[in-house]
Amino acid sequence: MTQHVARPARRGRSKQGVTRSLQVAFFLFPFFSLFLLFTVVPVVYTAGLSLFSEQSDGGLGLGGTQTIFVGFANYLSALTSPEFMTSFLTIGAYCLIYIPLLMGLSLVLAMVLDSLVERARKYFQLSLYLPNIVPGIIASVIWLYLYTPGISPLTDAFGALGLEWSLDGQPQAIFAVMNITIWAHLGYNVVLFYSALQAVPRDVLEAGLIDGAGPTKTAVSIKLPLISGTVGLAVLFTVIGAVQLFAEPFLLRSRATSITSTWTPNMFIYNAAFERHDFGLAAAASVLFAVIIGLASYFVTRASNLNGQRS
Amino acid sequence: MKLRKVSAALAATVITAGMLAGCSVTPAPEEESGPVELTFWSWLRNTDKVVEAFNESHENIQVKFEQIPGGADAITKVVNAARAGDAPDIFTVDYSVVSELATQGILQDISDLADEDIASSFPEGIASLVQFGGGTWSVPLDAGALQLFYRADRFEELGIDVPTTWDEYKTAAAAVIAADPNSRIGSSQALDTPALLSALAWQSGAQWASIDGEAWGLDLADEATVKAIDFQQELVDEGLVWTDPGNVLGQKAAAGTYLSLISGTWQAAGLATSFPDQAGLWRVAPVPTWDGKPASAMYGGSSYGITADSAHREAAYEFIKWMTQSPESIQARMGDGGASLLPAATDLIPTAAASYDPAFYGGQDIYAEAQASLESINPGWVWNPATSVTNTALLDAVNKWKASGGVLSDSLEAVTATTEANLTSRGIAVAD
Repeated sequence: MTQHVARPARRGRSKQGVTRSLQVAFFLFPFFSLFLLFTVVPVVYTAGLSLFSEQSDGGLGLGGTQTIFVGFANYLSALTSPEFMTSFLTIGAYCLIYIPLLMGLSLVLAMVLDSLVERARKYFQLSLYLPNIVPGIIASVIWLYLYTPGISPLTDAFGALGLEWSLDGQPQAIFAVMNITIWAHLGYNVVLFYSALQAVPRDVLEAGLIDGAGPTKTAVSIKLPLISGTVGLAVLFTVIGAVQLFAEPFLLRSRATSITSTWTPNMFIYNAAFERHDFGLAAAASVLFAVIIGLASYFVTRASNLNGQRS
Repeated sequence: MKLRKVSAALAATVITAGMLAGCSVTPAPEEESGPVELTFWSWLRNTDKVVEAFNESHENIQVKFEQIPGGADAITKVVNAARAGDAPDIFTVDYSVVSELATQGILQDISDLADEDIASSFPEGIASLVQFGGGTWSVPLDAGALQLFYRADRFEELGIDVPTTWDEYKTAAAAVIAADPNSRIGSSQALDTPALLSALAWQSGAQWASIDGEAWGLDLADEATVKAIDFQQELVDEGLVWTDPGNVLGQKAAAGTYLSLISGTWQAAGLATSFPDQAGLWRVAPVPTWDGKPASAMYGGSSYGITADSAHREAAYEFIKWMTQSPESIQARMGDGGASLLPAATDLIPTAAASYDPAFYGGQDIYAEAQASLESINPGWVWNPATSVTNTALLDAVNKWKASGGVLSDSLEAVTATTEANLTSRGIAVAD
């Protein structure tokens, strides 16, 4: 680093520099300490935990367990577990439908919101966002009741329309879960895209209008490319969140017969840790899962970067 | 450069602080001056009154009680606390998870403290649930002896006789529908509740787990279980029972279209609380059996165990003994008449009966029925050390059967195999 600017007196500069650094440190400290304590330390601990296993001494096992070092045996066991692999297929199918549907719906709603009258806009913004503040578990419990024939008005309505209500079967289970998650996350993404749309310069839109672009053409060819950065970010967050699906299928298990105890990767990890008491396997599965999420994020970011470059 | 150095120093400090925070400093054992302090976790009703009564009557031991949520969450909480090193001294443990916790090293062997009392106070069928593999792992409190709770007025109205055998139960089920198409004699709840399904298999004469020398033997697909499960499937396939989930069944019971249920003695108070307007209409009968001779099992019921890390085992056992074998504790627990606990200690049954007002059952002596059921529990049942895995596998099998049909009892072999695989992966010996 070459200095082109003349340095002032050394003493004065160090004092200013130190104060400056301290100020920065003061503001960064809360984040970094929490980040290290609650993210980095547990991750390192889990990675360590994944190399051990609790084994009984043979026999009846009533003497308790010992923690022994097993190296990568837990990883092998996770990779060869058919339930774990199937859970990735399930979550893959879920994401393939959920992400385009959520993103598409959010974009359309955001565009519509953008063209609405001011008062209507505020009302719709609020009502779309409200489901997002309901915690996932509570939302699942409410939807559980709404999915119960005999109690729910929805299922009765189905019957009235002559359709049979049944949550048996994999597609029905996926759609039932997807219904809850889209309901919960739509508002957040709509608000996100709507805010991004506000940053679109009005003169570009006017230029488009003058050139004879109708509302759909404006939306698709002008607005969308200009907010592509935000869309890329939203897709990234949605992917990371969707892949970690847990609360909704966990609670819906009793209604949807195709949801097993290891339906999604997170459910497999929970089952391994708390029902099978195999913390080593759960830790190894978590590490593998994190690596896969990391890879997915990498590819999503690359894809959106390429998109950005093209436009 | 300065900023980078500062950030690096910051990171180093925080990491070190984090690691130090992870290490807990174990306090040196102090000389006890004053009463022994015990920590106790439970979710059972009125435990706070029981603890209060104990603390008042015992100066040398004081118990600190913490209420925890019941069900599977309780076990997770205790296991996590044991790993973290701050498990309570005593906690409530369902019979079905005693062997599971014993093999996890959470419960300690209390044969030297408890064996004599258990032999003299508790029936054999219950003792085998807590004494196995050469050790004693907990002390029984109560038993959820299976009983049939039924709407006597509706039975009379529809001309149904109380069934004493399972064949009679099936006939009665058909008769109910013939007399009132909107009612059913019972439900398929057993299929959705692994603990109740286990109880029905147990009552049928099954022994899912056994100890063969130094290894566990597992067989869920024996004749008795297949018979019991095939019967439950028949009831569903022929439309003889309701197949709704629990909350819908509650509605139907309130409406008087769900006429009987099979459950443990503790359910008696539960029904009274849920349907107060049906007081005097319910009665209790022995659970139907295959051959008409009394045979019963347990659905629910808790015991008390001492954790492996506890430093006060004698004091802890004194507290447990008081809770499970003294009339004062039963009176404290059942004083408000809102619980229908059946003590496993047969001597305490009269005390419990005196504390419970069976007005909801038209004054019927339900404790006499409960005791008869308790005494006819099939002896020799043992819970395997991977009951959570068995229960999950059973639920998965039932769900699969609901979705794609077939014969439910065919999946019992797979459930056995899943459980055995889990035991083997934990290093526990499984007999062939």
